[in-house]
Order: sequence, then C-alpha cells, then structure tokens
Amino acid sequence: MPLTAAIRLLLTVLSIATGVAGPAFTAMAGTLRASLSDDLTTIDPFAFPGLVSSGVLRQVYEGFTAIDAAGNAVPALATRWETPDGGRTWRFTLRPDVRFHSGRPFTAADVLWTWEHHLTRKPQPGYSAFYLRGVEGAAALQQGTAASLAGVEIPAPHTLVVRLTEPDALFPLYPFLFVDRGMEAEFGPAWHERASGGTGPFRLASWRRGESVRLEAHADYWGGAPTVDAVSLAVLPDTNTLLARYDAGELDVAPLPDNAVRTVVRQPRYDGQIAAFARAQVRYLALNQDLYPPFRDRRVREAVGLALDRAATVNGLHAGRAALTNGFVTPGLGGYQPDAVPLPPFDPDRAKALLAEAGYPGGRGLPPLQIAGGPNVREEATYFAAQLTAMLGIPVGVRIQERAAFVAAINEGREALFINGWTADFPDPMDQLATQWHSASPTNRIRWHNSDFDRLMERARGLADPAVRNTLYRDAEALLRNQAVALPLPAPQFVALVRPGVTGVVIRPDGTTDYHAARLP
Amino acid sequence: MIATRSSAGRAGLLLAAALAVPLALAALLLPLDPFAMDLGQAWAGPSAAHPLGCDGLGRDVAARLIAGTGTSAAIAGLALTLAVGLGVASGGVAGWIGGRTDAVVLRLADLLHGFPELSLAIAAAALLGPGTEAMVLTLALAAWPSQVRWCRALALSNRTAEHVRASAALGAGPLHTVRRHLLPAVAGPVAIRAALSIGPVMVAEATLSGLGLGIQEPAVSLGTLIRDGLADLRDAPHLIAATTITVAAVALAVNLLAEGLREGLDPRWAPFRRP
Repeated sequence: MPLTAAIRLLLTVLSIATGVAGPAFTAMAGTLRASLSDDLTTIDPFAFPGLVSSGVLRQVYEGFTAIDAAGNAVPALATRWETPDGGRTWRFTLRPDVRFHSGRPFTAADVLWTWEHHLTRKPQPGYSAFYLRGVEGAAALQQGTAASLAGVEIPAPHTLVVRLTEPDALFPLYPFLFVDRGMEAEFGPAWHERASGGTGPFRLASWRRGESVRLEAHADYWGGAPTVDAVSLAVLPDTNTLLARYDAGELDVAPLPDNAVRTVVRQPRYDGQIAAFARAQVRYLALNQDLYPPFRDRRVREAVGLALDRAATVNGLHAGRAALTNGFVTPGLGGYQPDAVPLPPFDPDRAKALLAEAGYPGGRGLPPLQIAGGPNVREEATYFAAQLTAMLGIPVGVRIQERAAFVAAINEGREALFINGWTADFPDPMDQLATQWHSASPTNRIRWHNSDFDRLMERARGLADPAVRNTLYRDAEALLRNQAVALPLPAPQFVALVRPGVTGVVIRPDGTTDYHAARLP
Repeated sequence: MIATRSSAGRAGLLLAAALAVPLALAALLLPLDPFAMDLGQAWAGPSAAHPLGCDGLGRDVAARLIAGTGTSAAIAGLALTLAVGLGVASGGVAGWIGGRTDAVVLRLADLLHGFPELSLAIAAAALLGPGTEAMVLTLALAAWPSQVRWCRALALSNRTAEHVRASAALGAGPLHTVRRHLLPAVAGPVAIRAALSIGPVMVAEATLSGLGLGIQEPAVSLGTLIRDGLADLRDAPHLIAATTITVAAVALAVNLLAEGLREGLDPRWAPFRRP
C-alpha cells in the first residue's frame, strides 16, 4: 500500500475511532451532510453575523432581494420595488404567499417590526441599523424621541412605502433579514435560541456549539419545499479532518478553505467532484501611505506592483481557481466589467528603475517592511515578500497573525503593507468600492482620502439605473488604479467537493451555500 | 571527552553524527537555497535535484531542514543560556542569602512552576508576539522556574558544606566564597541540566512555531517546517516526515549526550566507568 494511502486510511480510522462522528452525521434518508469551516458566531438574526453565520442565516431568513449565482439582485420577499423620485422614496410590493416557519403569514408589518427592533435593540443596535440610517425618523427612534419609524408607511398588508432623507438607489439591495414579529411575544427576548423565525427554505432546528448545525426543510416555502428533508452541517475547521470525513463518505458536500484548494485540485481521486463558483470578494495588497512614508511617492507604489508576479499566482497558488483582475470590482458581482486596462506586466527591472527615480536606488534608504495578513494568506505573503526582497534590495518579512489580531491591527492602522479582502454583502460594486476606499468608511483601512473618489461614490448612490452607476464605478476603479492605492490580487472562486450524484448545490457569490435545490442520489 | 565515557554518551554522539554528516554533505554538495521558490515544483517528491522533495512553494525541503535545524538549535541555545544565566543568578543568590530574598524568589518560581511549561510558553508568546527574539525570551521564561529551583537547591546544599564553612571561618569574604566554592560546585550539575533541556526546548520551539506563535517567514525553523507540513499531511506526508524524524533524532541525540555528561561527571558512576 503506498505511504499516502496508508496515512489516509490511518487518518480516516482515527477520525472514526475518536468518536467525533456523532449521531448528527449519521446518514439519514433525505439528509444532506455538509460542513462549515468554522462555528457560528451567532444565530440571532439581529446580531452581526460574520461570513459563516451569515451563510447559514441566509438559508433561514430572507430580505427584499437575494443574490443569484451571477451576482445579480433577484426578487426574494419583494416582487417589485419602484422609486418615483430617484431613490428618495421606495415602494415595495411584497410577495403575498409567504409563510414564516411558525406558519404565520409574512406581511409589511413584519418588515417594520424588524427594522424598529434593529434600531431600538439594546445594548447595541442591530447590524441592519447601518443600512437604515437614511430612513426618515430612524435617528429619532434610536434616540428615543419617537415611538415608531416615521419614514415607513404600510398602505396595504403587502405594500410598504419607505421615505429616505437622501436618495439611495441601493436600498432594495441591502441584506435585510426579516423576522416573524410574533416570535418575541411567543418565546421571549431570546426566542432565536428556541425557535426559527424566518421565511427561508430551511428552518434552524439545532445548533450544537462547536459541533454541528441542523437545518430542516420548510415545507411551505414560497419557492417550493426543498428536495432534501434536512441539511446537517458539521463544524470542521481543520482541513485534514474535513478531507478525512469526505473520503470516509461522511460528507456529501465539503466547501474548501482557500488554502486547501490547490492540494485538493491536484488529487486525481477528486476528479469530477470539484465544483467552483464565482465569489464576490475583492482582494488586494494595501499600501498605507501614512505609516510608511516612501509609499507617498506614487513611483514607489507603482514599483511594488511591477515587482509582483500576480499572474503566476493564479495557477501557482490558486490552482487556476481564481480570476486575475486589474480592478477593485470582481467577478461574482453584477456590474463587474472585465478590465479595459490590462494588468501591468511583471517587470522587476522597471520596478527597480522607478525606485531609483524615487530616490531609493537598490532600496537604499527604505525603512524595514513586512507583509501582514491572516493565516489564510501565509503562502501568498511569503511568495510576494520574496519578490519584493529581490526588487527592493531590503529583506521584506512576513507577519502572519491570528485573524482577529490581524483585523484589529489593520483597523487601528498599525500595518503598512497587508493583504486584505472584502466579500460583498449586497450585489452592487458600491459594496466593494465605497466600503474599502471612501474616506468616511470605517473599513477604509489605509485611511486613503480622495475627494474625487468620494464624489463618484456619492453620485452613484443616487442613481437608480445600474448601467449609469456602472459608468461611475468604472471611473472610480480607474482612479484607484492610476493612483496605485493598492494592488488588486487574484479573486479566488468558492470551491467545494461534491459527492457524485449530489446535484443542485450552489455557493452564491456572497458565500451562502444554497441547499434549496440540492438533490441526493 | 567526558560525555563519551558512557555508552549513552557514545550513542548520542553517533546519532548526532548520523544526523549532521548527511546534512552537511547535502549542504556542501548541492547548491540548495532554503528560500528559492519555484511554483512549478510545488510538492515535488524526492529526486536527485531535491533529495527530500519540495514544499508547496517549490522550496527545497532538504535545504530548509538544514537551515531550520540551525535556527532551532540557535534559538534553543540562546534561550537556555538566558534561562541558566538568570537561574544561576536568582536561584544562587536566593539559596545563598536565604531569608526574605529566598522566599520571594521561591514563591515566584513556584507560581510559574504551577503552570505546565508549554502553557506558560504559549501565554508568553501570545504576550510578546511572534518573532525570533520574542521566541528566545518566551522559551527562556518558560525554562527559568525549573532552573531557579535547581540552582537554589545547589546553593543551599553548598552553603552549609564543610569546606565553605571552613573558608568563611578563615575570613574569606562572600564574593571569594561564591567565586571559589559555590560557582565551581554548581557548574557541572547546571551544565548537565541545561544540556538535558535542549531537546525539550527545541520541541517547545517547534510546537509554538507550529501553532503560529513562533518565528515568522522568511525565517525557517523546525517548528515552521512542522506547521507547513501539517497543512499537507494527507497528500504530501514526506514534508512533515523528514522534519519530525529530525526533531525526534536531535532531541534523542542531545539527551543521550547529556546523559553521558551526567554519568561522566557524577562520582557515583565512577566505579562503572572504563579505566
């Protein structure tokens, strides 16, 4: 028996023998067995969910619109949305035949209750309060000077009119999760721990912290009942364990962490079992001009870009499961425009010349530099650090930190050069551009400020026509490119192992694995 | 050589040579660069050009093993030098002076000793952050409590020895006594204990770096090699196999040599030594 096969067998036997495979993962008729890369942070639809929790909660709760596999907004609980005045007033027509998991009908009153609860939630407002800040009366309700949200009218049970203080063409796209307003009265304030309060294709049946999540089919789902009876999600953060479970036949679907994709893709035993999906995630190498003064010179920033062989990493580090872009809007998002401007070539000689022109010949005079990142970019950071070392002439180190520590460091502006990414919450390029580069955005981690860019974003927000908005987005991307504010890195796809015979599983660009149409063999 | 007077010491020396000679030959004969990347060679198996294969970035594993062993040995050596220096200073003084100083040092050592060394090292590494210098401090801090207790015990036992009391009775000052009597008496046992600690300290470095708390790229150590190898355990087991064998062999060789040193220096073993 070859060594690799023997080790694989040993791992499989060990994982079974250790008893981690509990009853939740025992195959049942109609139960699809899949995995999560981490445990949920919350099942409260009002709390900030993070990517993993959000992927589960979006199977249970829904908003006005959803994101389809191509990254476009499609109707969900609203069938129509119109604005008579360029985005200041929105009239939503809600789907009439929708029932919550409790059996109660979904109406406009549930939308209003959900919004008011977000705004008045204590001690922290709900995470959607950010998206509701433009609704008339939102501030008064939050401050306690009003008892209800004045900017919302309900002329009919399935019609909702929302008035905003400023035009916002994106309001229908925001990722709201509407909640059954009867839940709190029936189960108390911690109702989400006892019952499922959404309209989605699955109801949340159980959450065993650190172990598993169980979703059960919502038979009255407006889009038709799911084909599977249930989905059992095992929490498997370790890649070796994940693959051992999949190889042992304990998983039907195994979404892969990014750093496992190229090891899996090269294994012939997985041929025909790999599914890839577009991802609405922009990734970039950010250059903090405040923290590292040489970056204030555009030539130095440009030199860094020319020194990195980004094209080689598409196959070399992502096994071809990534798109090379020269922009900051990625595939997987409606409005993505393949670049008119080609990617600058990998040209270390030109990089050295630019560096010399900027007053740093051979890297002389440059302060020490490190590429920072989370554990998932260790190889990429190491690869780029070696290339920068060769070009700059000074040793460029790598600082890999635990994810939370890294996020804290970039939030506090403590990293000069770092790899970061952003997965869109709603299907519009605004969520990849303004969130990262608008001067007022809390997630503009390099504190870059450009009033032309800010104006483009503010104008786009008021344009209801997506085609016109996209024109402004293209201008904004060109500005970012010309300023060499950051270097776009290949945008990876979501990749999952799917057992032969299992069909209909889709990972949406926002990271939600959609099991509604899943079928077992 | 004192350490090779015993069979354990000779076995340790043989094992160390068995490790060092092939690595030295590989370093001399093959133009290997531990940092050179070739993505086209990612996870390549062992070959004539790459005797132990390549890692996920196409870097030569043999070259990285040589560099990593050197880094880990240097870190362990520095950490132990620091721990022993501090241990001799604080433990020796505490044991020699006694009284309140002894009580304070002993309580502090007891407090730290209450934690498993690895837990202490993880806590220290988390506080100090990643990096080579931080790793040396972390390991030194984790090793200090056992060193201080050992040095204090040696100082206590020597303080009341007849030759020390005789020296004091003849009018020798404290500095003279420490220099002429205490330090020579504790040097041998302290060296043996430090040598016995090299293996565990190297394993601790490997563990901490394996957890991502240790040294950072581009530096390479046995710990970073284990961390990288773990990620590819199922499909490229040769990556971690070579490193774990090296860690185990180095720890065993050092322990055998230290055991040989102990047997060589301990008068109780004298009757069993070859003439």
